[in-house]
Amino acid sequence: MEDLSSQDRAKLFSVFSDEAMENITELETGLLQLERYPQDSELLNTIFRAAHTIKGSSGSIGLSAISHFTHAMEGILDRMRQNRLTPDRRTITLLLKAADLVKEMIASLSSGDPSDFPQYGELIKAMEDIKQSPHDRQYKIIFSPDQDIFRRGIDLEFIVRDLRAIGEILDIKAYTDSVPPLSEINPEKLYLRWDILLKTDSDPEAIREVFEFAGGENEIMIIPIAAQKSVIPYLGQMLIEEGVIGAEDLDDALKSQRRLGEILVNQGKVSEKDIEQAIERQNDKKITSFRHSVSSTIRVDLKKLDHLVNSVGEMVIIHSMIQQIIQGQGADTEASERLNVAFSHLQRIGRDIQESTMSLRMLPVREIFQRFTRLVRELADAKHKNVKLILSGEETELDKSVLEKITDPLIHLIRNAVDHGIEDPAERLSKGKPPHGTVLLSSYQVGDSVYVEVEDDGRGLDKNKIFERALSEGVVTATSDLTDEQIYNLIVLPGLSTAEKVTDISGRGVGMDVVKKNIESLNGKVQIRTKPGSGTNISIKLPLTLAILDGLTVSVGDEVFVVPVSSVVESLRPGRADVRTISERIEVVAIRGEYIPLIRLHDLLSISPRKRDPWEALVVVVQHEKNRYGIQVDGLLGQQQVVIKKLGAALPKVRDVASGTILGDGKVALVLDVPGIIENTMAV
Amino acid sequence: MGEEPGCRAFPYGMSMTRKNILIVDDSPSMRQLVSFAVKDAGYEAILAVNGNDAMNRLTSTGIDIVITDLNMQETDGVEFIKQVRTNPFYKFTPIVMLTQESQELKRQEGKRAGASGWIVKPFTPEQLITVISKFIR
Repeated sequence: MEDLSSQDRAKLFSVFSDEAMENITELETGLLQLERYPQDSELLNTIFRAAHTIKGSSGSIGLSAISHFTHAMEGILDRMRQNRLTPDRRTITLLLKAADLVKEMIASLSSGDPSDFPQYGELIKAMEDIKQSPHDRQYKIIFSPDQDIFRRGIDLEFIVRDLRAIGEILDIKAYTDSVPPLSEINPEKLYLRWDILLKTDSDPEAIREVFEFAGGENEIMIIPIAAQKSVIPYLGQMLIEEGVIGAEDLDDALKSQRRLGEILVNQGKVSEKDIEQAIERQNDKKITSFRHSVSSTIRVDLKKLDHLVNSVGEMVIIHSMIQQIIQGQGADTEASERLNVAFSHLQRIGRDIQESTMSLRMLPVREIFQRFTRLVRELADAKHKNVKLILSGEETELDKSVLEKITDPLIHLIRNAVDHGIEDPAERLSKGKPPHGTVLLSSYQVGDSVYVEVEDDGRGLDKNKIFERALSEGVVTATSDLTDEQIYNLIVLPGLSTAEKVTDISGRGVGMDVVKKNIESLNGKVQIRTKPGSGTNISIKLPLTLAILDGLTVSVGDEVFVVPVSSVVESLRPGRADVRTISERIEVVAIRGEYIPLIRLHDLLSISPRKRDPWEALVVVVQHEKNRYGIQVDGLLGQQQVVIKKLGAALPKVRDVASGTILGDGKVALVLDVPGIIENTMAV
Repeated sequence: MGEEPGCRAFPYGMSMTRKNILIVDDSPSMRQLVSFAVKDAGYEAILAVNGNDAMNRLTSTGIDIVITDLNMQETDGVEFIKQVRTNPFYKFTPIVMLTQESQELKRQEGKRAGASGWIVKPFTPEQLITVISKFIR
């Protein structure tokens, strides 16, 4: 390593950190799944491999702190693979914490020493402790010794002693059912039998050895039992344990019990074939649900991807330029006929390339959804609530940049749902709801929009509280005539958190207003629906991609600009009397009795317009937050989808302009930054 | 055979402070091997060359565990175990048989006669002590 230049080293680290981050994500999602499916050995192998890969690659590039740390994680996972450790909640929580630290260590590669974390030693020790913990598995030992065991000189006390030497005896139960009446008791005989519950890390062979001389083959049975057994025993098991019924009775009863499919078939509701097919589908789902957790990917630098998208966008534009030329020439010669045919093929392939290029930037929302499983788990733990997160539509795809930008808003919405929405188990029970709350995080695509929804079955929003709060903040007046929905949507306004107290979970300063702002910066919309007592649904509508935009092309002087259609409400030509100036400064235009500020685009951009007065020109009405504004332009040219292009490094940030684009005729046009324009003009 | 050095002459050469192990075997080398092993482990060894010799040493209490060979020329090991169990003092005393790999049937016989456990020859001193410690402290 010493021979490497710092540049090579940095490159090595960056490749490593990409790979390791991917592995750690896999490890994390795997662990969360493992908690649900502790028996899934394939899953366990995947998790183990992820830890193993990080350990190996960090070690080989000299990151011994990370390597050492992941070695400890691997040790625990290996024990799980060998069935010597159960993936219980405690162990999984520890491994998740460890995964967090690995992430931090990787992130700190560029700056500091990865071993320089206060939790480092602590976590390693905790992992070693778990690994060392001697009582790993539980066995039920059914010991029915021979009645003559005393005559063979065997002291049962020694058996208990020897069992204690290899593990912890959790429970011993003696059965007295074969003890005869007192008059018939032979004190030299043994009439008891025992069930012993032993927790040990030794294998069953070691237990059998303890009973080597005390029990023959029929006298001793050692049954491994799952340590993570549900706290509530099955009814049958209870009845057996309490001696009400025998094991055979239960078996008989269970045999006469029929499976759901069978019952449905007998009732004529479904055919046998239906059931078979459904079971097959169920099995398929089990398999694919696992496969989903292991995606096969290659990593590509996002810059390269952006470049490709850019070039393809230009190619499409050039295609339409060529098309205009060909059409202009007419198809009267054989050569132009053939050119036409060849070109239409080229265009078809061009569209195909464009579509698949766009899809390269698309990622399934699963990428972020799965993180929330853990978030909900931790939030619920912190609040002592019982909350189940259900994910749906994880395969819905969104542009990577959109996906990144909705992560924080979603975290906030989910926090709100768990913290404020879902009630305490006791409160839920008293309302007749199941004690565990449900948060549904779903995503689906409709046309060019993707919806992401966070829905909870909690207490819902309190209309009166919101209204009171809005009133005290001066957002509404007592006489405001608002629909329920309008009131609920008030919570997205700054300062309108209705949480009674700020907790460590919610109220961290990121309010609903910030959520809304973030979503709107993505040309998205937030919609709130709630039903008091039964829950809240917050729906986010997002454009499929940020790279393509529906634009309204407008002209000002000789220039063409693009206004995002998402912010346009309408366009109109006001009458001369509708335009006024108030306070000698602010120009307003009356639209159906409402005065809205007028922005003369030519003044703002210092362009000489064809039409100077609004009543000769056109006003495009745009919506920003709760207000409308009029933007004066010379004319409307049309509506078209434009491929957004960055202005380039030379023009990092231009006032009033969001980005550029190339129009169908090859002309370059600027895309207006509507919120920016409004803020700039109103601030003056 | 004379007494091995180190055996004390308290009732039948038994110790009052240590656990007394009666070793019954007609092979001198085996007796010696077993006796060294148990003495190293802190037990007292009382040696008997055959069943009769052993029964003479079991006339009163004091023996904590009996280790006996199963194939002895004068007394059959299983017969010896049966005799021990008729002695009221030794009804419940652990008896460990020294057996051969091939003697599964004989082992069952011994068990029915009242043997507590067994150890298969050849064995190491550690294996012997492990088995003994399953029956006495």
